[in-house]
Amino acid sequence: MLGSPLLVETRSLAKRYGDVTALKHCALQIERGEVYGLLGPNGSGKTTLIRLLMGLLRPSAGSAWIDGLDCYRQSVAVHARVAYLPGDARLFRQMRGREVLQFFCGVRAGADFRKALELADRLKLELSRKVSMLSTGMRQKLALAAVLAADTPLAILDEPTANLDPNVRSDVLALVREARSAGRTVIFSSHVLDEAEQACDRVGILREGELVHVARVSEVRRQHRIRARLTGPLPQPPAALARQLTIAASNGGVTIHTPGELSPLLGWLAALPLAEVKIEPLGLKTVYESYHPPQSGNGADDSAADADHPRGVRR
Amino acid sequence: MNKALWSKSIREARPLLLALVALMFGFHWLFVWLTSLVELGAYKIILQALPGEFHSLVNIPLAKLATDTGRISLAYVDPVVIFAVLSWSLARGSDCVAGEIGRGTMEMLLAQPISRLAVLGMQATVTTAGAALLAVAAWLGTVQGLAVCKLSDEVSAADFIPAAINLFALTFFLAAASSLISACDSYRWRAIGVMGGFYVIELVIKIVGRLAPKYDWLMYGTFLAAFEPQVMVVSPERAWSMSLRYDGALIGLAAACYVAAAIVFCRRDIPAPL
Repeated sequence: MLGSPLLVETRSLAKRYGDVTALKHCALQIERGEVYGLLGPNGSGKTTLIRLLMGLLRPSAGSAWIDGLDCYRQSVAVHARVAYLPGDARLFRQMRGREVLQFFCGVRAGADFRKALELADRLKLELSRKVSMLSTGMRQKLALAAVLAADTPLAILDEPTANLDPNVRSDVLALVREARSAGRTVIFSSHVLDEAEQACDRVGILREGELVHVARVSEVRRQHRIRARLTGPLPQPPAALARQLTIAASNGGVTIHTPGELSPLLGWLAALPLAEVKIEPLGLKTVYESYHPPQSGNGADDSAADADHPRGVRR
Repeated sequence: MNKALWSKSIREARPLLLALVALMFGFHWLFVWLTSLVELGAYKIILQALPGEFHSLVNIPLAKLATDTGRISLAYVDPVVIFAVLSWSLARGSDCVAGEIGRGTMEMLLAQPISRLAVLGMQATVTTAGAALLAVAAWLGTVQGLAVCKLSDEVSAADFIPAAINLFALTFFLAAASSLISACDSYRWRAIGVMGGFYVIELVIKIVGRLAPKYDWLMYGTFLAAFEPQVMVVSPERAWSMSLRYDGALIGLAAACYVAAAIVFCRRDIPAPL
C-alpha cells in the first residue's frame, strides 16, 4: 500500500470477545489526506475498530493496514506514523502539564515541543499544574496538545471533543481542518453529527459492530428529501430524472430522495398534483438516523430503518 | 531504549526506592549496633532456652548462631528486610503492566512508537537495578555498623557479600514473578494479592518442610528454599557454592518469569481504561 492513495485499509477485520462480536467483516478504506468520520452509538464498534488499527487489540479475523504496514504485527512502525488520542485519555498523574508534553515529544522522533506548547497555549492550558489536579476537560486538552504536536501522516482522534466546552470544541474542529490542510489524514470518531459534518470528508456508520454505510459528506449535503401529499396519482418523472430518483409512496404521500442537484427536478415537481410539499436537505443526521433511529433500541425501529437502507455497506 | 521512557520509569521508582534504600541501610546498621549492645554470653543463654525447632527454622547450628557473625546474619532474614524486599518487588512488578492498564496510561504509552518489549524491559531494568541497590544498601549498612560498633568477635564484612547477593536474587525473582502476574492481569491490586498469597503459601511450605522432617521433601516445592543468606554468612567456606546454586536457581526462575511475562504481554489485548 506504500505510495498508494489508500493510507488505511482493513480486510474482513473482526474482533470477538468470547461469544460477543464487537466488530465483524469490516472493510474500511481511507485515502491519504481525507478526514474520515466514524459514527455510531456506544457499543457500535468504533473504539474497537480504532484500537485494532492501533494494534492494541489482536484481530480475531482479517487484517488492518496503515501505510502498507500490518497494524498488529508491525505496530511500532505503525505508531511512528500515527498520532492517537483515546476516547478516555489518561495521562501520568504525577507529571505536570509541561512534563507530559515533554514526555510525548521525547518518545517520538519528529515531535515538536514548541508546537506542543503553541497548541497548549491555543487551548488555554495551564502547564504548571500536575495532571492529577486538572479537570477532565483540561486533561483531554492536554492529551490533544500532546497528540497533535506529532507530525504524523495519520491522526486518530477517538471522540476528541467529549468533555470539552463549546468554544474548545470549535478549536478542536479547526485543528482537524488544519491537519487536513497540512495534508494529514484524520480518523475522527464522534457522537456529534454536526461536528462530523463540519470536519469530515467521508463518514462510515457503524451498527452492532458492522460498517453499514459509507457516505461522502459533500454528496450528502447535495441530497434532498421531498415529502409530498398528492391530490392525484403520481405521474412518471422524465426518464432523465427517473434514473436518479428514489421514490417511495405510502398512505397518499410520497417521499422522493434526490442524490444530486435539486434544480433539474423543480419543473417536474411544479407539475405534480400537490396538496402539500416539504423539501429538506438530507443532511448527515437523516442518513445516520436511517441506521440508528432516534429512541431506537427495539427490533421494530431497526426494521423500519432497514426498509430505506437495507443491511450491507452502501457507498 | 528511549531517554524519555527511562526518565519516566526512574522518576516513578525513585520515591519508593529512596525510602527502602534508607530503610535497608539504616536497619542493617541498627542491627549491628543492637547486636553490640547485647552481651554474647547472655545471648547464648537466650538461644539455649529456645526450642530446637527454632534452630531448625533458622538452619544454623547453635554454636555458629551464638557468635557476632551469626547474630548479625539474622538481619538478612529479618521481617523488616523481607518487608522491604516484598514492598519493592511487588510494587514494581505489579505496576509494570496491570498498574499502567489500571491507570489507563498503558494505552497512551503503547500508542507511541515504543514496543511492548521496551516498556516491559525498561520497567524490569529499573526494578532489577533497584533490587541491586537494596542489596548493596543492606551490605553497606552492615559494613557501616561493623565500622562504628564494638563487637566481641572479629567480624568480616566480606562474609556478608553472599548474603546480600542472595537477597538481591530473592528480590529479582519476586519482582519477575509479580511482573508475570501483572502481565496476565489488568488489576494491579489483584496482581499484588495473587503474588502476596503465593509468597505466604511458599513460606508456609518452607516452614512445614523445615519443622517436620517427614515433610522435608516440601522444600523442593518452594523458591524460599533458595533463600538462606544467614547460612551463607556463617559458612563462608561453602558460601560461594551455595550462592551459585541458590542464586542461580532464583535468577534462572526470574529470567523464565520475565520471558513468560514478555510473551504474555506482547500477545495480549490492552483493554480500554477501566
